[in-house]
Formats: sequence, structure tokens, C-alpha cells
Amino acid sequence: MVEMSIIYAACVAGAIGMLFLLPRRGNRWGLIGAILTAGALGAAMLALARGSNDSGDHPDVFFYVLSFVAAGGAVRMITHPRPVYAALYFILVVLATAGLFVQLGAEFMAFALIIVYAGAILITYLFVIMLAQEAPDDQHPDALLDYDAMAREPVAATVVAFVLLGALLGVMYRGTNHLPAHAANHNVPDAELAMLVGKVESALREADLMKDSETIASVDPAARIAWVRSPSLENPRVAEWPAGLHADNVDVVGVSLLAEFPVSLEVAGVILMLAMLGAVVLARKPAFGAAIGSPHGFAVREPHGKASAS
Amino acid sequence: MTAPLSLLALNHYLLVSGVLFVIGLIGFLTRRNLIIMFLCTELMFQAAAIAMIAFGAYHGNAQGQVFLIFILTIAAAEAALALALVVALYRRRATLDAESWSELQG
Repeated sequence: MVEMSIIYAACVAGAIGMLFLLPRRGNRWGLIGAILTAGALGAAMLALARGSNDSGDHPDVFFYVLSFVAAGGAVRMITHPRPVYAALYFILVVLATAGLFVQLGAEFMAFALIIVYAGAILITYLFVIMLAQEAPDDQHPDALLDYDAMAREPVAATVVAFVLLGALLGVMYRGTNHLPAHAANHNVPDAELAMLVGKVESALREADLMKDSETIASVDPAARIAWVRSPSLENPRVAEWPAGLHADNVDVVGVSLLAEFPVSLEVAGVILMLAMLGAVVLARKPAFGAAIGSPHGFAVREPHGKASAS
Repeated sequence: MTAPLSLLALNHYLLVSGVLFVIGLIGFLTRRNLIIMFLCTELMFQAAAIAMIAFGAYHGNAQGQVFLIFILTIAAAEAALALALVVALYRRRATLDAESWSELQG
């Protein structure tokens, strides 16, 4: 069993560390807060690693490096007073998360995450941050705005959040002991290749197990064979798969996506298009004097005269 | 697919996921800049994504990853709409302070 008292103590230490880290004017306790928070995360991981009766393999050293980078980047993201740096720290979190996905054997999702998040969403955020940036006064363009430099209700937020974390971890670590063993859910390995006849065929042709004139009749992943129909024979003959032929991550995700959830995929596409339309409608700036614009609606103070986004 | 995840490793990934989610929650509650508040919701999405992929690896199927594709879609749509709203709000008040809209609480 996981030693839950250590986990709860780590939650308390992490909460105190977060309180020291949250932004306020003249914050001198940041280093102590960082050490406390990192120590709390390390203690929780140690408690997990020691208290397990499962003799399964421990996560390797890259997991620890990547998760500490992710947690540190996340803390820096919510404590940095300048929005642009916060967005850049979030990119760091995304990269570390992608590394964790590679550790979990989900390399396709790791690349998709980097492309979609770090490449598309975060760049949009950076554009909006730069479009909507304001200087507190003209003499000191680098001075911090009051609402960026001061945290709102830091004690209440931290207490609520870490109570939630303690409750979550308590429920999870009691609950995961009753999860079914993973082997029960893992049926035939490479079963997805039954639907990917083209991949089997090209692998067989590359290994010279099939001639040019032959075609594949069917594929049997359980026996790792394929039935090959050739013009000279009346019945299909058996061809064994090459040893290196496996369904890789993209194959598994693709088959699962298109065979099990095709309607959801279409709905996701529709949602994306509607969101694009909605964003264009919301952010559009009507021409001056247009009928849809309210008379007092726009731009109490236009920064430097022009902030057109149209 | 690689070998299924052990229960011990799953617990580690769930810990990281929970920690990231809570950090995002604290950021959402304490920061007053509208853009940073939306960034913190993206951080909470990341935490959910880690849990999703870890459970998928534990059960040895791809459904966690397929679900993450939909999460990415919703996150992209949400980011576009939220940022459009932020731009519209900024045009009205010329500030990103969430407190400046507090009369909306009714």
C-alpha cells in the first residue's frame, strides 16, 4: 500500500511552497517556495516508489526529469508576472508532456501535441497577448501592471486546490489497487493488422515472401500468417509474416479512430469549423457607423490610435 | 504497441497529472489577467491528457489516444473562441483585468 500520510504531508508542504511562490510586490520568498514545492513532489514520488507491493518496473530516470520539468514550468507559468513569459513557460510544459507521451509509447500523440499546442494554439495566444498589451504609463513601459503583479485570494485558492489534490490522490491510490490486471484487456497482439492488409502486403513483398503476380486473400494476426492467392494455384497458400512486422502506434490509433469512432471524428471536424466561424464573427470589428455596432460599444481608449485586427 | 504499463508506473503518471491539474487550478483562481486564466485552463487540459494516455497505456489499447485527439480538437476550438472573446472584451474596456468585469456578477 502507498503510505498515504506521506502523500498528505507532501500536499501540505506543496501548498505552503505555492503560497510563497505566488506573485506579489517585492517577493523574497520565491527560492524557499520553489525548494519546498520541489521537495514535496519528490517526497510524494518516493512514497509511491517505496510503498508499492507491485514488483512491476519503476519508471526510468527520464520520467523523473520530464515530470519535474513539467511541474516546474507549470509553477513558473502561473507565477510569472509577464504574460509572454507565462506563455513561453507553457510551451516548456507542452514539450515535457510530449516527452512523457513518448515514454508511454504514444509517439503520434506526442508529435500531434507539439504541432497543435506549441505550434498553433500557443502562437495564437502570443499574438493576442501582443495585440492586447498595455503599458501602465508612458514613462515606464516595462513597469508591471497591478493585476499582473498581485495574486487574487492566494491563500483560499491554494488551500482549496491542495485539499482537492489530496482527496484526488487518496481516492486514486486506493482505487487503482482494484483495477483489473492489464493482461486481461490486452487480447491478440497486433490485432489491428487484420484491417491493415496493405501494410502486411508491402511487408511481405519487401521480404520477398510474395511475388508481383500474387494478391492477399486475408490476414490472420493470431497465427501471424497471411493467405496469399496466386494465379498458378487453385487455393490460397499460407505466407508467414516477417518477424519485424508489428502494428505501430500510428496504425493502432488510426484503426481505433476510424473503426470505432468515425461519427465522433466527423463531429469534431464540424466543431472545429463552427469554432473558426464563431471566432471570426466575435473578433470582427464592424466598420465605423455600421448598423450592428452599438453607439457606445467600442474602444474606450484605442492604444496609439489603431488596434485593428480586421 | 509497447508493453503495458505497470500499476506502479501508472500511479506515478497519475501523480504528475494531478499535480499539473492543481497548479492550473491555482493559476486560474489567483491570476487576474484574462489571457493567463485561459492559459491555465489549457494547463488543466494537459493534465487530463497525461491521465488519458497513461490509462490507455495501462489497458493496452488506443482509446485514450483517440480521446486525446478529440480533446485537442476541443482545446483548439475553445482557444479560438476564448481569444476572440478576450479581444472583444479588451476593445470595450482597454484592460485585461478580470476584476474590471466584476459587475457582471449581478
